[in-house]
Amino acid sequence: MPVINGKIHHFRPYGLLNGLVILIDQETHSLWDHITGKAIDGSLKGYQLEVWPIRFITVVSALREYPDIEISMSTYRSIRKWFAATLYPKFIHARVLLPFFFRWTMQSKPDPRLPELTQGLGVVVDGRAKYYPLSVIPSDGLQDRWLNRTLRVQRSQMDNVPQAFWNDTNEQPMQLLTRWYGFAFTYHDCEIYTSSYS
Amino acid sequence: MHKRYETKLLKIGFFFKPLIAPVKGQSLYKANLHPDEELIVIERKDKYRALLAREMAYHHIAQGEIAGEPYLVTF
Repeated sequence: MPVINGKIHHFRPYGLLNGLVILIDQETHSLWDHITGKAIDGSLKGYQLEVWPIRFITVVSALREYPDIEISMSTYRSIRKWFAATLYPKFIHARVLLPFFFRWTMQSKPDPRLPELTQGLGVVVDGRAKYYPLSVIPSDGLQDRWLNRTLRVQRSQMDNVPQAFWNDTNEQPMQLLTRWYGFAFTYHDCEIYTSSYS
Repeated sequence: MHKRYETKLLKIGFFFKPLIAPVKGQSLYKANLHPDEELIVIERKDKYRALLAREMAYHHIAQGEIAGEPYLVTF
């Protein structure tokens, strides 16, 4: 939520660091980590925005689960936008390439524990983070004991996209579908779920 | 300012334009999108709003309002 001390701030992309977008707010020119929602430099350094999970989903799944859903489509037209959409028409299960200039921005090599473009679900709770590679999430889901609770990770039957829920409350912790390199650069000490069968 | 990041921060923000979303979206059902088109969905107070993932590959930021509350989606 882009509200700071009761006022809406307006954000735009500023640059790339570690292959991840850094934001800037027009009001204070502070720099922001777009994954954590935390100011990393400027007068608001250390400020934490309220964050919510977002969900990747296909149109067919969205219409089935949320029949009244609305969409906000961009009316902006430019070659740059066309190029970006052509280069990256799909994300969820697609094999994507890391643009060469992303590497120029990396402060170290990507965490070698997994291939850098592994796709997975990152879950973040009170600063603790755990990554669930798509390849280890069975089609019928999994249950993982973590932080003294049981987390259920299930896949949508229609588009195979995973979501995580706490078993005891059915609430969703903060989570994002993301490539490994970005999650690991953001949460250096994150755990990785490994299936007992893998 | 921002000197800590100068050596690795690639300032290409000018390349991208944030999406300023209207308060009222349009019906996804009536948008005639391909069933496999990928969306980013946010929810607030049982209201759901979708953004096209391929458009967010360019915009990286969408800012708007849902259920009377401002939102910022980043990608």
